[in-house]
Amino acid sequence: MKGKHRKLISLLVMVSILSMLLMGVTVSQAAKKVSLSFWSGYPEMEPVFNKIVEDYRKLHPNVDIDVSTYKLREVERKLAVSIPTRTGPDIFQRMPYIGHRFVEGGYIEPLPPELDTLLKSKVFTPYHVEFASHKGKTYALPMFQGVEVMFWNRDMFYDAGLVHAPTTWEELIDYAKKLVKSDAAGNMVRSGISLRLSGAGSGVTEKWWFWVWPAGGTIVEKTPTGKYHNGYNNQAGREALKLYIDLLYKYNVDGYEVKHDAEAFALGATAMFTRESWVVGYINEHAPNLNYDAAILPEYRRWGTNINPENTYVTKKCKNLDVAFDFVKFMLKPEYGKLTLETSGWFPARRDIDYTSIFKETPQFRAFVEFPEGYGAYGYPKIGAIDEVMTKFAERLVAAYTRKDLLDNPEGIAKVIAEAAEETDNILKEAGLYGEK
Amino acid sequence: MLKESRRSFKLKSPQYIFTICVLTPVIAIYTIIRIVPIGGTIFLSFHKWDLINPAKPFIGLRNYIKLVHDYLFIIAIRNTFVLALLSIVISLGIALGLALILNRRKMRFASVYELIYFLPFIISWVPLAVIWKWMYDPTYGILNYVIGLVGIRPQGWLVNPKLSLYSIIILVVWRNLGLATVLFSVGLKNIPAEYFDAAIVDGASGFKLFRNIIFPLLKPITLYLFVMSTILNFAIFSPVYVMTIGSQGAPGNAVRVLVYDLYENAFRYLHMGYAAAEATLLLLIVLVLTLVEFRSMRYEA
Repeated sequence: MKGKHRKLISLLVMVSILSMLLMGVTVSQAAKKVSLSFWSGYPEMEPVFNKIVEDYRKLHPNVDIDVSTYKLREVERKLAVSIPTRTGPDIFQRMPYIGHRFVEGGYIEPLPPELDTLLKSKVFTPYHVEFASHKGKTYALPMFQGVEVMFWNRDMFYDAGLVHAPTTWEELIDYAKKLVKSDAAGNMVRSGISLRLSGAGSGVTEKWWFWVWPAGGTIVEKTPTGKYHNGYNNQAGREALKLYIDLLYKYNVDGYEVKHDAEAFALGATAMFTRESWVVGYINEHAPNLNYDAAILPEYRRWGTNINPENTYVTKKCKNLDVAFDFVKFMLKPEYGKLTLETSGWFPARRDIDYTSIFKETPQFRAFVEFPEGYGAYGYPKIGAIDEVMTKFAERLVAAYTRKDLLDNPEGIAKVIAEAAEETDNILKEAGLYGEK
Repeated sequence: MLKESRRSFKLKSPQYIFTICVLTPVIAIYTIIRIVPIGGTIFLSFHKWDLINPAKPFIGLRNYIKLVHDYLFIIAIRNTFVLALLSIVISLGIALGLALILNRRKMRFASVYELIYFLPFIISWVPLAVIWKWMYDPTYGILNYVIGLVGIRPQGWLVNPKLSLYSIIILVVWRNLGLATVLFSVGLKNIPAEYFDAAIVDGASGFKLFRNIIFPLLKPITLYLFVMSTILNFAIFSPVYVMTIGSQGAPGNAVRVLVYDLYENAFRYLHMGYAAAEATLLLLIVLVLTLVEFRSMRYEA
């Protein structure tokens, strides 16, 4: 009996010790604090990020995520300086042409199998997979994306007897002529279309891209060898520049003396312009009574829009990869996609979100997802040199737009395009990315 | 022998030790924050480096050769000279005129006016540039409103590449005017009244008085302002950067100045070696200009 008691007591003691040990491990695990830093170039997204972090912390109270948002160019400088020195964030968001520099430099963690499968599933498109891949591995998940559309002021269009946005280049010219407005002294007070004519940076080229692409060109073209060369020293490039010059000096539907871009649209200083979905959020905030709509971009030889995903990357500096990737996956929940759209106007990248309730409230968003058959997509190639190509070309375009002598001057236009294309190819050569056509 | 003992005595003297103790930290800090980065920049200018890739191959003078053939660098040099020269000449000219008006014997509240003119100089460039960006707005800006009153058509002050550099020059002149006015006023106040009295007795007045008395005696201050303005205007960046931001900002090439070009090469395109070569050339340009001005200042003194 004594022996039996002893055995029982020993067993109980053993079980107690093991239980305590297990409890101790669990307690210490629960107490283990995890801190992550997250950087983005979209301050308007900060409320969304904060909500996601708040929800994530409810499930994982031991995880602290410090969200920092900066202006786009500012975050790019900070990433360039901090990631190679391992002083940057654990997680960051940026377009593939910026993020890919760090992927190539070996500073980014590849996606774990679970997220790789998610990226390659039907939730995303092969377009997104391509923008996140490098040498057979995937490195990022897209959260939201910029999609370009044509915004048009319904009231101004109706006043001019027009019922829909222009669908072709001919309609664009015709509509812009009907919509431009001048005062008694002949000064333009409202542009027919607000073209991007100025500002430093790549934006001027980006907006010109929406016209050169339908004409059959692009900014840089990939060769079969995987290298690149300019894609606009051709008829498409010349036609796109001619369109701008004609709109400015033949039809006088835009000019330097009027306000431009989203601000002009919100203030009624232009009848239409091309931009991304964030404009919807901007108008909701600044001009809630504006009667407007959004439409797909006009067609020429081909039809399509510029789509640029905003990828989320986890850096190699991160010491808690499991938590970081878990958070990245958490960010992609459909409810946060809807919140992103409602809060900032940026469109979620995942395709399986039901927007019915949002479309009822804001029908303008339809133009960002409901594409007709044959409507294509193009975006920034994931090469670091693209920013220099676009920015330097933008300066040449800005200078060309001021030249009235280019009106009915095909040789002059061809010269501008050819010189710019030579510069583009030289930048690609310098970066070791140039390939013959 | 005597010299050596004197020397060792001097080296051990408390004044000498005190001087070393006081100067060493200053020189050390200056070396760390000035000399080492300048040396590092010059070293980097002979290399190719993209900031992200750790490889930093030595390429000799290639960055410099490329730079002198770079049309953007040429534009930046031209714009910097135009901006510096015009803003110096205009601001000093207006400031001298204002100082002369404010220092007339019957002028009341002269110091209040000086304070008003000086205020922009103590405000940081960024808020100033943002305010002026609003003033230059083509639709709602006050400048177009004012010129509209006299029948001039509205202008795209910033967005029109033909006007944008001059729009920035106006801002620079406006900001620097106060400092120059105050310094000229100080100079005018320091001219002994007897000189004026003697000149008036000799029959001098108006322009003769200015040419023979005021201008020669203001030369040290004028030269000082020239040197300072040259250094500051060659290194100008913040207003240009702010004025180019956004779709309604100035086009980059139209207002491209040296430091802006350098910043773009370094932190936008990540051509760090190339930007370092540009920084080295900028250093040489400012150094030469400053030496020229210092020599003329010494000559005048």
